[in-house]
Amino acid sequence: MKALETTKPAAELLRWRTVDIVVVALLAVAFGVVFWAWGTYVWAWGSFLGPQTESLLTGVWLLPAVVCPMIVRRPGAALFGELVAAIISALLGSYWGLDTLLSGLLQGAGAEVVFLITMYRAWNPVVAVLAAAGAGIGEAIHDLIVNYPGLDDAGRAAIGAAEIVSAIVIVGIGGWLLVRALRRTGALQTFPSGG
Amino acid sequence: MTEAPAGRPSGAAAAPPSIEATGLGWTYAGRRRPAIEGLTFRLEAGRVLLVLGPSGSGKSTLARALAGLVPHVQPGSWQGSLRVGELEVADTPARLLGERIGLVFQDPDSQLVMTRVDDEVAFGLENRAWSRTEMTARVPLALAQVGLSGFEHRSTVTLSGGEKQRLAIADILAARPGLLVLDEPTANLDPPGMYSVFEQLAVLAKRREHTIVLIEHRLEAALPLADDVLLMDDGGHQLAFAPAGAVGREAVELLDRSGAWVPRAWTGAGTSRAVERATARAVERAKARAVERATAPASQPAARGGRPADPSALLVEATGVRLEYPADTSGKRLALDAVSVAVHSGERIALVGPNGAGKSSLLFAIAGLLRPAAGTVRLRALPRNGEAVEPLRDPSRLRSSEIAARIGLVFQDPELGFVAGTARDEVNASARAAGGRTGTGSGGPDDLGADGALARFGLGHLAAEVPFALSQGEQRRLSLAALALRPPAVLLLDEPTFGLDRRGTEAVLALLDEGRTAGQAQILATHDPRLLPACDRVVALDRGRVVFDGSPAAFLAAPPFEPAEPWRDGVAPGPASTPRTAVP
Amino acid sequence: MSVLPAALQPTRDAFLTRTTPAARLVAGVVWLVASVVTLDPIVPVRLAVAAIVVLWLWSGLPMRRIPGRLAPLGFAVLSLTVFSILLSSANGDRTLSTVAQIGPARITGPAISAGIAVGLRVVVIALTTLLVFGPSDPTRMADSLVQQWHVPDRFAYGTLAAVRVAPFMAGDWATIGAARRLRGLAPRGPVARVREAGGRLLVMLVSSIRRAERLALAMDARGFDSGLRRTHFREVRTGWRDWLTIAAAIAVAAVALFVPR
Repeated sequence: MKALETTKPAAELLRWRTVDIVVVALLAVAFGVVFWAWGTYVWAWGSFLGPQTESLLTGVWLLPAVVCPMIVRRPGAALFGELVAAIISALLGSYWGLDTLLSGLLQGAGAEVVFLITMYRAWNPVVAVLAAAGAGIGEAIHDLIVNYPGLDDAGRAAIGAAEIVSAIVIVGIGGWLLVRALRRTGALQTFPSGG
Repeated sequence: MTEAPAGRPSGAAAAPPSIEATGLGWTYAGRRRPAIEGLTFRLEAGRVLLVLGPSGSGKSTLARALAGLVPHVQPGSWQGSLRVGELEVADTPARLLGERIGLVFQDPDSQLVMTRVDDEVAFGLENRAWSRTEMTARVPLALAQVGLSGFEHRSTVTLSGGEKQRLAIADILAARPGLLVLDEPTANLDPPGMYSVFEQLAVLAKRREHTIVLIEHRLEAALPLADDVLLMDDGGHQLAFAPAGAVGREAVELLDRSGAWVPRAWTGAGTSRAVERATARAVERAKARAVERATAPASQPAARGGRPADPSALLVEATGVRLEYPADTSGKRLALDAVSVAVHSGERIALVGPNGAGKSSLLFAIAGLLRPAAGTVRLRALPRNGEAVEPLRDPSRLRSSEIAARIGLVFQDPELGFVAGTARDEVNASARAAGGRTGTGSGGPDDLGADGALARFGLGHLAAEVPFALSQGEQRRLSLAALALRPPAVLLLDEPTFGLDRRGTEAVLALLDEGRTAGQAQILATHDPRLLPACDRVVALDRGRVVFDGSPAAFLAAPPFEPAEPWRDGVAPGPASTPRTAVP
Repeated sequence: MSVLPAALQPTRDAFLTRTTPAARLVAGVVWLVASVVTLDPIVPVRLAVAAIVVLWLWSGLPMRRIPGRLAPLGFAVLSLTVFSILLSSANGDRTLSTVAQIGPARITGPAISAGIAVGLRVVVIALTTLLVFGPSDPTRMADSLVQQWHVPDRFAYGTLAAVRVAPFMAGDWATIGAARRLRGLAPRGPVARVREAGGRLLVMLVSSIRRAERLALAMDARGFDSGLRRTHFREVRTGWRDWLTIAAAIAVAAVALFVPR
């Protein structure tokens, strides 16, 4: 006769279990489809409002950078989630194509830095907003260099600011609310975020 | 590329191990109640064990423990001892266990990983570091063992349910495990798929190269394969462990009382009591209405005689419905081809047929979710007291708020329909949509009688729970409860007993009886032959056409499919169709 | 799934279908960089022509399906071009002559050419992406990244498994909508629609997380997390076609950038 306890996953902070990988990947695939649809059906039309206004819509592209890590709480989740979502939307045929991978990388890295600073220990709304802002900065850097190189400084500043605001509202607050709603359904019980 | 060293000497199959459990218990992290407790039995090497028990009896947990997923992958606390051969599960790394034990799950679509058949079989071998030469030799052999030779380059998406599940078994056999654990491998399959899986299992069982642990609800097909049986109750306790042909009367009685399905061979009875009662009632009512149910050939279902004289009893009339598959799914086949069905008040119809025959398409067309390319679907609400009978109307043109009183649909996966944060709000949401107060709630102003409905459906204690966190049986009852305050005239159910044990099935049938008494018409799309006797009529579809429309008895006597065997309840497929009690 | 474009697959064996995805990725990045480093519109024009030629002759992809695939791009190209011209910093440069005056906005020559370059850049990126991903399926992409670039196995194949079950999400989405309509809970009005979409997304994610959990458990049961170094059933090896592809991509990029008009 013997008794044995296996611990809750919260204790093994750094190791990715198979379930962590597959859940982040599947969420990222879902976001990739959302990216594609958003880019094709919403953003393309919104773009006629001009780049500053349109930049307010860009936050949607940063959702995986905050939602994935907030669920599985593993290092690299922001980067992994953004990259997979970018690959999927590129595969589906978004017009940014390969460039999506580059922007995904920068956006993921921006959020990842914030989570790294907390040593992957703090998962509150403040961190979510900061991570969203980080992702927004990553995105702004990319977009200003690749998409808006010819614009004047005032225009570029406005675009950068709009993207970061969009990130904070849509991703920081919206993403955090989404994770909270998921937790309430009991669907996150196998993850450290669920208990 | 360098070849990694092989995980274990290649080629050699693991010998079939014995299984010995001593006081085995497991509690999942975060749960208070153990999933299994005090299991003590010894299964000799090379024998086939059938595990029987109601929902929640921990059958799947036992399967996971045998494969080492519990305790090595899922968190929780372990009690006692489980030995597979010479290995103590809790002390053996999951990797070692994985080389000797194979586990097949219920849902083929959530266990296949790759998109091509040969890649899929090789996946588990790659994980165990087999060399490329070994894999190339092994993959076709594993496919041959499940009758899938020549499927190597097929895409897994194009396989039928039965083929997918046999592929999942090939995936496991490829690694040559000594112990094969199958956790309800046919639950998601149509009768032909189920039949083909059992055929292969019968061959495997006969060869005696594996110890096999089988968890199954399709007892009439599974029992003939079993050497031994393990009976469990709804608390995860062991009721009995015995040779399949020597189960004590008392143990059978306990199993029956726990709510599980019990093999007919043990009870001597035909079907379960509730199903019998339901059948008797159906017969009574049919007599009372003096309806003669003809078993006319299906080619002219509309021409059947003996319809009730009262035309107002007609609730659904589908005439010459033709439905095309979306253009991109290739193949010029029709989802529905000239389908005509009339459904009357108080009628319960079983809709049967293989996967892809058009059952879901017909349900969706009746619900107005798909609009036919030709033909018409029209339906109406039940007349309320003193009101005139409303004309038949096209459901696809009804507004969402109008449709709720006429049509209800309970999906196979009920949680996809949930909208609220608690079970109580789930019922209230439906009641509110159907037009305000209908119940006799005594609660606050917001109470629309939800608590009363929940109590009637045995969910009273769960009113404040999150709907998504309920068990499958509870979720199905909740989706019925949500329809109870303002019952729709026509209730459509997709696999209403999927994943339910006998008690759950009886509960659902009892609730359906209430609705039917009030005049509701019910259409049940199902693969479960045990449900047929509880229905008034069977409509069988094959490749988009109605191939049978008549009484359940006539259907079971001569199933209109080729081959017919899988459609008869209680017929065991394969070479081992006689019960075996002794081991050679 | 009907709103999503069907996967574009090669219909015949061609030069690029025999190259490895990793090599095509390198070649694609070369063109991507070349189209981004300059605001001279001649560079993306040259690259776009080259990409179309390669698509036609060596990709194995059905040409007649390409235009439909790229159609949604039109809006983006147009708006990006227009706004790049209107908001260009060159318009503020008083030493340049005015080409056009729209209300208060003054447009200069360099602004127009830079704007056109930015729009055409999008075209090049889209065509290049087709050349990189089109000629082989996601499984080969994962095999290639793992064997040639040593991307971690578990992440690559975990993602591949997720991609395989992703279409079920579309089915769930449709079922959720149907269930709500039948329950009389279909939204009316724009605000209700947005709220309802949020609720639908939540249910779909719950269902997807459950599916991912089942899949992960099945993968673990097959030794996915065994800690052994995985072997590979199908070998991906860098071949001469790969080197030729990369060399040709570099050569074309050099010509596009440096050969004067």
